[in-house]
Amino acid sequence: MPQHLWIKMANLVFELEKKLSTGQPSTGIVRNIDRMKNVLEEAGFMLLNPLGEPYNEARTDLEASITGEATGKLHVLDVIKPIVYTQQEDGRSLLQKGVVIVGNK
Amino acid sequence: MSSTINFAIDLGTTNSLIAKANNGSVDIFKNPSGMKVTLPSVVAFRKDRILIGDKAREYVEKDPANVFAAFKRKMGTGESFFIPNSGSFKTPIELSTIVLQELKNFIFTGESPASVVITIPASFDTIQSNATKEAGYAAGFREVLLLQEPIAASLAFANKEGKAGMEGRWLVYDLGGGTFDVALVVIEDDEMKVIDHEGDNFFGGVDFDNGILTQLFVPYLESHYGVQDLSSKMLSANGKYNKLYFQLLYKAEEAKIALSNNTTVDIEFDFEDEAGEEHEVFFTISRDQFDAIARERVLASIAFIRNLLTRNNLQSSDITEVVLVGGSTYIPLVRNLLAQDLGIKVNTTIDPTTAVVEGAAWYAGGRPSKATPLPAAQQPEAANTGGKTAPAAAASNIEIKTAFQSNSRDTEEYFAATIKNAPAGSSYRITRADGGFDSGLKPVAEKISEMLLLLPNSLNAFSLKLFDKQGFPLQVSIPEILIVQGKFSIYGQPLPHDICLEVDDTDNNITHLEVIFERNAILPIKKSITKTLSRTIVKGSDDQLLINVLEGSRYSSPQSNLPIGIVSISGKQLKSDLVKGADVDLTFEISESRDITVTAYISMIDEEFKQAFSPSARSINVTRLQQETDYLHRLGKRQLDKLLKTEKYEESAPLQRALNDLETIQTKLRTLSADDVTDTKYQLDDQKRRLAQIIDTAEKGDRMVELKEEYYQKKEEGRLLLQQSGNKDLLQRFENMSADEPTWINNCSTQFLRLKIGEMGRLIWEIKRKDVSYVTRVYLYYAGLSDDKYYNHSQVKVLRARGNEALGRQNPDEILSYAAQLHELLIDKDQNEAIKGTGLKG
Repeated sequence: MPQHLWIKMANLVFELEKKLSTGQPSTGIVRNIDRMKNVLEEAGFMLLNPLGEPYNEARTDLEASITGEATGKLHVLDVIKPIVYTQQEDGRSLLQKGVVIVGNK
Repeated sequence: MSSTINFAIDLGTTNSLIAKANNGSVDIFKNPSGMKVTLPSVVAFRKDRILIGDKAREYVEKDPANVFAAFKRKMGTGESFFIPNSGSFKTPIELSTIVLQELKNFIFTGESPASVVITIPASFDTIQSNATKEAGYAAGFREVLLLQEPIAASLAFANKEGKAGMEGRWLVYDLGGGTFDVALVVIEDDEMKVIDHEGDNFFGGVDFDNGILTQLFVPYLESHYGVQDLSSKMLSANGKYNKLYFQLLYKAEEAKIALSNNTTVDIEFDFEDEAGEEHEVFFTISRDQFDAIARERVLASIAFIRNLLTRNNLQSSDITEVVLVGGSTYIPLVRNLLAQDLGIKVNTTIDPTTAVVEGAAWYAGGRPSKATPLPAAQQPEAANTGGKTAPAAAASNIEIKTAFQSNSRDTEEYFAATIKNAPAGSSYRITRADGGFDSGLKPVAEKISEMLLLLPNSLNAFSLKLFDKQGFPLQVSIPEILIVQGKFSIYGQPLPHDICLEVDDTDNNITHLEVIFERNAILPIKKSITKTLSRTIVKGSDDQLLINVLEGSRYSSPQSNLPIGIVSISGKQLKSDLVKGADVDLTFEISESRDITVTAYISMIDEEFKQAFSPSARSINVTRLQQETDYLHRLGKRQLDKLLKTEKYEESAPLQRALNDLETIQTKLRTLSADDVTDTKYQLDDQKRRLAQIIDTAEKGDRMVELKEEYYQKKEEGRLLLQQSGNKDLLQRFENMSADEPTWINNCSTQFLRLKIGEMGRLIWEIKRKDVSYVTRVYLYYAGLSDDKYYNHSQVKVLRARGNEALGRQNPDEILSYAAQLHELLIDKDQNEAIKGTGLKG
């Protein structure tokens, strides 16, 4: 399967997980999402959700929109797309930057 | 030195790109961080570092005094920008130089081009053009050729269509993210020329995104959720809806892109109303709605074209075509209005995002490189050092000592270094090899430090580079900074042996081991796999599904490895039958103190079975032990008979003793209850494993030779078939299998070798199934069997008739499908006795 389709699938799995995180999904649904993530991992993709992590300008793994006054320490307030790395023979490489909104907590 | 220039840069107002002509093709380089081809032409002077590109753009609105974008518009003016953070000034040329130097970092081949073609807008006058050249020289290029953007784009289109050039007069319509230009281009006296141009520096794709947001999203949310003046609330820095603004802007851009290929798009997002209630908003936007928003601006761009034509006394009919450049020209409305309103053919044959740099690279690929040195006064320091990219003399005196933890469990790690004798004004930069971290350019001091962001559970490789005051790399040898995060931490304990799962090999009627965690993996560790059931387990029956986890070599037999955890799911525990082929999700976890947790989830009955095992309390399943002992006895007996037939009495003696011992175990096991609480089962298991090794060795020596021979024969057959078929994918698979061979060929069990023979057999089958003559033979074999071999004679007749027709079409898949259907109807297709095994398919 071409890489861009894998990324699409990774984004959909992430969105699904994000939507379910607000409610109380059945264990079966959570399990299926975990299985999808395992498949992505087997295919050599690493998904990271940076929600709540500290943000600074050296983080080239994130494409950030900075909200509010943005003084002092910044954190990731919302994640629109997850960070996706791919594992190849010569090591890992960043395939998709996380699309995030950052600001003061 | 290359004989042609080859390298080209599109130094854009919004984005810049770099490409290289390469023997008849063009390679566009990607940003090593994020792998995009575009670099936003933005430079940010943050408190302690300089950021270039995407990271700089993030701060355009938050720190406008220190962040500079669209400085291309100021090229050739006397204007300088004051930077409050550094208290210094930068000219547009200096800012452009920084962007050009950053683009050079995209060249992953390690080349340092001396010559380059840089594109400029058609509107640039001589002073602006010279300013661009100056930026090129300052960035270290010794030869800079300029090319107008519309000409570059035209060359890309001309090359794509295989023509020497375009014909007549044509328009280059360039609608990017934030700027719009249109140029009238012609060939006169064999020279491609821009006759006239028009433009709007404040019109581009972002206007459409904003249009979707303000004209569709905002009115919808206001009317449905009773929010007043949402736009102002979104734009207020401290407003409740400030975050929503960025979310919606992103959604708007996504919608715009999707509507280029679809007539409608569904947008969804979460929205919290003023009362604090959460809503899931689903929103459909049609292309008609989007067109209504964009129409006015696109028509305004067409009015520019009309002006251009009128000014040059031309009619639309005088224009042969309009070529499209810039990402916003993907919008169907732009293409349609240009074609309908002006009646001019629209050329969309090339990627509008990269057309300019691509055309410039084509041009560079045909221009001889002179690379004449500049007058000394204008040369960067590098040019004085015999063409090296940095003053070697200065670099050789630099002393660097680094300090950091090579293992970390934190998400970031402190890095410090002392740097002595660096030239004044030098800067440094630390980047992570995977592209996820970039410190930006920071001034060198005698002591520097940085918090390095670590990727979890990975080896993080950082590189530290130094640059002189003009931004040229200093050739200092600094070892890579390698930090292991997470599971590889020194605190973790390595596994002394492989941890394996026992699974069934129904083809060979045996079980074999499948590795879950490899030897030396660091604890704690977790892994999930999905297996399928190899047989049906009937509800209420005594049959059981066994998840048997063993410790030992993955190459040896399951019987000789140490069982460390077994989960049995018996038919009595089931609410309904477990059907062959159903999925079982298995999760294995081993803690640092070696506690093992096995979780099995069977989705078809939505049930989870979980069991934890500690290394101090071994887990033995009596039923499984019985099965294994019986299997070993059968195996040993067969081998013994063989030895006795060949009169090898001496060798048969230990085997005979082992069989006697096994029989004793069998007897004891028959009287042992499944829930026995004494140590007996552990003692019996120990004895069984010792006997398994004896039987394994006895069987192995003899059987191994035969199996190895079979394996090598299969391998040779595979190799010859691959030579004939030339299938690259299968050849790769074959090579991978062969590369792995030395690790197991001399120390594996017979079961493992059978597994490998099976693997090779499957590969051979993959090759053969594509061979028409082979599948024809297979089909003819089944079609030729007499009717009494089959169940359903009328069906066999139909299949034969269809199969015979298929032979004429020579499609191997089709022919094979008839052979397979015939095979399914055979009366005696599965004569072999199936093993009991674990119930998990290998």
